[in-house]
Amino acid sequence: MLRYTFERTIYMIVTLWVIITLTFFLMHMIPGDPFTSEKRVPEQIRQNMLAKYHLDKPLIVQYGYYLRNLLHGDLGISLKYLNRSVNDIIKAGFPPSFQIGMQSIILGVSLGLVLGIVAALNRNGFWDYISMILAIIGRSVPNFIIATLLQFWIASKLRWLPVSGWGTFAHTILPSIALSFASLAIISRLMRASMLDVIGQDYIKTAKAKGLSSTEIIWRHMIRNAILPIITVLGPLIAGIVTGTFVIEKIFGIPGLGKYFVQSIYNNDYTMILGTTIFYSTILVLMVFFVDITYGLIDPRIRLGKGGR
Amino acid sequence: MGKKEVLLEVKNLEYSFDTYAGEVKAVRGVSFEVYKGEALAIVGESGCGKSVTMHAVMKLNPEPPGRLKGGKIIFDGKDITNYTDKEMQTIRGSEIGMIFQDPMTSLNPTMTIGKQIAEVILKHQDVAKAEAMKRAKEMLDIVGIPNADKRIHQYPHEFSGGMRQRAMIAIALALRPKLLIADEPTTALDVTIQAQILDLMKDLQKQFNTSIIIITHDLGVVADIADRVVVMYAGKIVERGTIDEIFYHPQHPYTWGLLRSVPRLDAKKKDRLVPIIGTPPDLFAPPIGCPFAARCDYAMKICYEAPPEETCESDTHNVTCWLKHPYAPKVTNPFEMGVAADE
Amino acid sequence: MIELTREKFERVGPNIEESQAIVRPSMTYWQDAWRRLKMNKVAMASLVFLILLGIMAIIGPYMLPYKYSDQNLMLTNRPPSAEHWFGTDYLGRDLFVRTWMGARISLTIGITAALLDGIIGVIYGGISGYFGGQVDNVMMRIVDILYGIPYLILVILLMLVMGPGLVTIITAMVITGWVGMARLVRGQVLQLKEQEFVLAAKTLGASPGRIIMKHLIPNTIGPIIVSITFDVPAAIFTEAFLSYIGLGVQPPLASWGTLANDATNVLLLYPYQLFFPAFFISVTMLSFNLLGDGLRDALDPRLRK
Repeated sequence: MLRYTFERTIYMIVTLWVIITLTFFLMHMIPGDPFTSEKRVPEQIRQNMLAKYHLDKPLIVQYGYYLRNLLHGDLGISLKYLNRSVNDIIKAGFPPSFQIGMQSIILGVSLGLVLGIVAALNRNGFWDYISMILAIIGRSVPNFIIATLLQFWIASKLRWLPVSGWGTFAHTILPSIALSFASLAIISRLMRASMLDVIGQDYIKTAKAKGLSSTEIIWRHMIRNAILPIITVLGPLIAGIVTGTFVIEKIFGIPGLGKYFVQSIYNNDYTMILGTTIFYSTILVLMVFFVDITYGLIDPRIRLGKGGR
Repeated sequence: MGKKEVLLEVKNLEYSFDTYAGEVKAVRGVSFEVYKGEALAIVGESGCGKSVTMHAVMKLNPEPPGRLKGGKIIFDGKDITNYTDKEMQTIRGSEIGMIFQDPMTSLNPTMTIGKQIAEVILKHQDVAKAEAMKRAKEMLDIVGIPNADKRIHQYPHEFSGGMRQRAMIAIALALRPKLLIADEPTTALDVTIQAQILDLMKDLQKQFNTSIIIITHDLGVVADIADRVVVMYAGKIVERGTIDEIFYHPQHPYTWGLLRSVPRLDAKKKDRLVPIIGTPPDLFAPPIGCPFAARCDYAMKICYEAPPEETCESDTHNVTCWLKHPYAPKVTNPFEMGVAADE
Repeated sequence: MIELTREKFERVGPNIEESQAIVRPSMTYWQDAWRRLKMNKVAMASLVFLILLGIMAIIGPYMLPYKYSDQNLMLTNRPPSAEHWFGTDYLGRDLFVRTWMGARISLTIGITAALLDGIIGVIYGGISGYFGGQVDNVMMRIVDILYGIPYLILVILLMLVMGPGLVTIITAMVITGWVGMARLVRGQVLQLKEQEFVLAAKTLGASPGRIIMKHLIPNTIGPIIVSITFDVPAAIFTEAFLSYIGLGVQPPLASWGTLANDATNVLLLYPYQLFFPAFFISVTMLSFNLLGDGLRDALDPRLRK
């Protein structure tokens, strides 16, 4: 387990470094600099600005500066909102994004698991069809369309919930539902398949031959084994939810980090794009890391550092 | 030997699976009994219904598609034919233990061996967890796993195949059941391990006075462990008798075929192994006559037209074959001849 | 009850033909897969829908006398009518023509990206898996790291660098998208390489070329096709997503993503405008997914019934 954790940690660090480097150089390949569009900026001031942000130095030197600052947790200063550091913007924008993301993950995963289990146990029954229909919708309808439709019907027409904005819990409900749909669909189908796989395993027959009741078999033997493969898709799933916040926040007018990120793309705001990308990637890579470790903790075959079977 | 007590009696059992393609008549009227303390072997090739029969007794077949169509199952004086799943739970694990073919997949990979043994104790007896774990450790000792106090905390993947089958036996016998059903318990194991597992089963059978039903296609295993043998073919019993009767005086052409297809130490040099040609019939539409007729060298017209009746050779020996009919031509039994020629 | 007479006991011997009769006629892998796919009504309906969609993407834009970029500011935001079957948008452009232009672009992007992903992934994964050892080690470490980079974020960055446009969308998606396929193929090849039938072929002196063509490819092609089928809707979604945040195809060109984006701007006033792009994105993604499910069942030889 120690070796496994160590391996995962190294992977995480290397991945992060690749992301940072890649993002940095990609950003500097974008034609023009952030001040070219502002025609009113006199040449002298522009030069001063470039110097201030070290943008006049060779790229490799800039990279060095950037890495050094990054190690101190400093993501630089937004080139658009000149008085705000990227750290400040992230600090302001992250909490709403985090809340919506977390709510969606919890909603999607827990509901998905329950639905998948119920569907597998009532194969071809009512709940199986419900889960199938939800899965089809979740897999086929893009989240921004679901969000728009929810906003249109539930908020605009029925007026049950606020159309957009931020502040109360009510504001978070529709965005979370829209965002959780895809993960709910994926988890419920995977869990169903995984449960059906486990149901056919010999050790379930052993458990039955021990005289255990169906409930005991389901709780003690099926669910734990069926959840294992699900854990591996949590990483990509969380990535989907996090990137999903970009459009969801735009649709529901939530002052979250996603909205800032999309705006910084329009504004050619280097440091902001760089900072948010690195921030997002770090969160995602950390999530995947924790998922891997959790998997290791739950599956004794990995925990004890041996191949399965 | 006094009159033996019957532990399990299966009468005219019929069992089918309803599939999309139609009804598979897997077991078609099977009757046999198991006496206390004896070992009964059920022999036959793959798909002959031997596992389905025993799973039906334990009600382990998934239902649907499985369906008990008829017959009676009497265990230890109780008619358990129509027991509900809940009633069966009190019997499974405590009165009937069961072990399966593949020890690699029969244990839960995410639960320690100790917990898996303790689970069956906790289910049927009102004991504390610590006590159950202590008894789990004792069971591991009994089935011959060294370092039991360390082993109970390990997971199945840390055990070898033979060890896992020992652990399975520990689970099955933890509550000293009256009957142990072993479904091809040695098929998936190395030959050297097979003998160890069979020896262990024989030891424990004596120690606990357990009856054993062993399902196998391996006549070597039968010879090693069984007191009596039931030979099944295409969902029916074709012959049953004591081990001596089946091995030295077999009466059914299928049994002859089975015996000729395995090597024997007492065989003469010129005797070759003879395979049984062909494959068993399709159980979607089993033949109206004797199911073995199409592969039988001695087949007569009647064999294709009507099923034979069971006839008694002795108190313990029954055969289901038209050759036993008085009208049938006399056929030299290749095995009786072999015995005669040995003189 | 049959009367038992002596002649009934005449010996006739075994009936070997009957006992050896093979119930199912033998079929090639593809015939069998096609037969099973045909039995899957949902998958066939999806296939028919996708073929119709493809045809409409080709002829749809010519069915009405407008160009996708023709503006008519006198006729903005009209509901569907005899002249404009799907209505017009905020610039008076015909939505029927634009929807099918969108189909062209979305399908082109989806299919091209998925195919390129597939080709690159198969080559990379195949090499890595077949040669194994140190080669595999290095190649897979690279893949593992790339796999850790959030897909959509990288696509967005690449789009920023390369500027919006059809070719850049596909390029950006392919640069990031082949990794999944490479892992799949490598896993398959690695597993197959160790199987007895490949060892048997090697022992019998089959050349590496023959092993790859006759043993490895036929046994991996199923999962590859299925994976490509699932990649198409994923690529269509990514394009729609990019267009939705303004990084996709640029006006006056239209994709379903940009059409949906345009429609949401006027959603409260003209909600029906969202219907067509949303409907086609969803049903197309659905069809590809269902077809993929059907193919997975049909192409898996172990599921032969």
